[in-house]
Amino acid sequence: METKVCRILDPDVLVDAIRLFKDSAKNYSFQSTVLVKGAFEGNSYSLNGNDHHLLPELTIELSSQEDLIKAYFTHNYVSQLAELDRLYAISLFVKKGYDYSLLNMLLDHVGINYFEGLVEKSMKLIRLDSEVLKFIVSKQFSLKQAFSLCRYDSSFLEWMLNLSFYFHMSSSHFIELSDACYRLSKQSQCDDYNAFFQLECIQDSIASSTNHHFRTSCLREKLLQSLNPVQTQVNKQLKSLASQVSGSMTLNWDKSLENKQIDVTMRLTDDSQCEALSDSLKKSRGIIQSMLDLL
Amino acid sequence: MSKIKVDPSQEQQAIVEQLSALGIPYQVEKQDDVISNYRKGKKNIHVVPKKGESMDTCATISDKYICCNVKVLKSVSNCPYDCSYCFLQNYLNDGTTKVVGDIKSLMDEVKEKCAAEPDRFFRIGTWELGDSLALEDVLPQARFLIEEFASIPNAVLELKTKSDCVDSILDAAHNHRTVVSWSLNSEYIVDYQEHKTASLPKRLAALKKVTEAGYLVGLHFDPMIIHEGWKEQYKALIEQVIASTNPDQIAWISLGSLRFNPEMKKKIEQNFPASSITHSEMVKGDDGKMRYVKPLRIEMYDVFLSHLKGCLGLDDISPLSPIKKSTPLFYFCMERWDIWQRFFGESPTSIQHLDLLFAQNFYERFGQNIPFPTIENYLSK
Repeated sequence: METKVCRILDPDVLVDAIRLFKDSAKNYSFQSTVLVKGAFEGNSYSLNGNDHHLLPELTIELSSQEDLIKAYFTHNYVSQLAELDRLYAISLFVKKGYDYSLLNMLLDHVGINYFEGLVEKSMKLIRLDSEVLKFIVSKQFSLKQAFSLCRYDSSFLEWMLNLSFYFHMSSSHFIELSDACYRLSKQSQCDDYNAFFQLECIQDSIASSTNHHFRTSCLREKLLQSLNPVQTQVNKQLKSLASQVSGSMTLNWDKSLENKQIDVTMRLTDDSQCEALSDSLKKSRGIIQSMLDLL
Repeated sequence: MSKIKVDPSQEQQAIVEQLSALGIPYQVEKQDDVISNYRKGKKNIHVVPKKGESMDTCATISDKYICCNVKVLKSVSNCPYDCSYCFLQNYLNDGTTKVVGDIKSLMDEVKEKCAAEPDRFFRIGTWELGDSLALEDVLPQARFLIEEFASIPNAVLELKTKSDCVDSILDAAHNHRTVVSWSLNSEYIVDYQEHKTASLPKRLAALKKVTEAGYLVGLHFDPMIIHEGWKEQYKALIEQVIASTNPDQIAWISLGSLRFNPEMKKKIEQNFPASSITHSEMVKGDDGKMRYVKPLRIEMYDVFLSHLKGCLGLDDISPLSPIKKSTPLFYFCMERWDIWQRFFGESPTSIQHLDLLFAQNFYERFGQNIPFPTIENYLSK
């Protein structure tokens, strides 16, 4: 086991150093092998650890919190991690009350490229409940996907996390279903998520199968229907009308209801069928008109 | 507004002299840095020189949605108001509020382009990237533009606003070549979605003032938004608007429903977490924009137009019908041809066709001295 000395020039920074290294060791798995010992010897502070990459360059003069944290990130190879992991590592510090400008500096330091709103979004993201944050790290969300969750309130995300245990949710499923559930809760003006959980479409989906994948498909479909009552109802009427035409002909339409047109597909195996099909089409005029009226 | 900067090249412009006259402090400074946050940019006005071409056509993305071919003059960029549905929050790379100081150069371009096609009638608006009148009390552009347009033989200026900043233009020599338009919405939407704009009563009072000053007016009921009590609220709006103006002076009336691209949906939800406008049933159209599902749009337009027709005492409001002196030009903004057919019995065959209908309506109702609009000058282009 190696021992290196880190000279801390400011006593206040020293206190922070002990706290930060201890917290990070406790909270973040890649630091779990580091042992931290505090020992006051003038302005010196010794760290013992068996993690080889932490220690070789740790003899460094630190005159501010920023220096200390920069050193921490540098020596822990944070910049080699995935973006979200880097952000997660940063979160361990920023959650403890460090400010906006520090976060800005850290993002830059660990090589997360700046784009509009990055700092604001990062602040929101890293302040999410730690279970939610762990979930999005474990499911390998992209940074963009993770940021898209920042528009939800924390109670909703915790609720979604609980819901996810009943289903199979990849990162993209989680994003899609969060959006759908959130909209549905707002549409139904239900801010009590416990009550929202009892909603028929959710309970029915959970009860639909023991297979998590099947349940998830079921939930997606039921949420879509609940969110789009007009489309669901009109498409049902159109489907019923379309089913009344002859079997050799199928009628299709734009399910979003935007395009006012019916596409007719006819199946011919012999040119002698042309006349019969033509008659079928003529007989279907009323049905086609009714369908167009609905579009 | 917290900070006004003037580009050194613009220091001698009349618009800047006005700042001094009003005692409004400003700094003369070149601004090279970009304010990426559009909200922060709202508090930083920069008087800038005209750069490149400033007159363009209002964006048309898909031929399945009919647009009106209006031209836009980019005299401002960004806006002091903060409407939840505003597309600028997802559009501007630089959020700095920019006001072109050298308005004369803007007008030189307008005159050159209008002169190049003397047989066409141009409608030119200054509202694409901002509000035409919101900054008028600080950096007045409108009066100069109005008086310049007064002498262009084949153009009309459209100033569109959510403000009540009209006092400075009331006695301008407009020669009926300026249409002062309002973007109007129900009182609920104005109060809860159109942040920092003039209240509905203030907008209506301003509408009354410009009507009395003899201006032509435009009414834009766009974006119509479904909310609790929307039917009654929109009916009340119609009644208040009609009572605040003279129908004979209404040049045009447009209707449109809430629409935005999917990226902007996320911006709205981030920037306006209390807003519920993104929660309704919507579909993505052929132009990539989210809109209310068509049966909902039809219901909205039906309620609205039935009441509007009743209030104006009009049976036929089709822009394709023979033109009557008392009938404004009605149109939908970015709507499908079948919506036009449902409410007007027919639809323009193209964007250019709708442009022609505007010219014909204006010619018949207000502009005997504009070029006679012929099909050849519009549909063959």
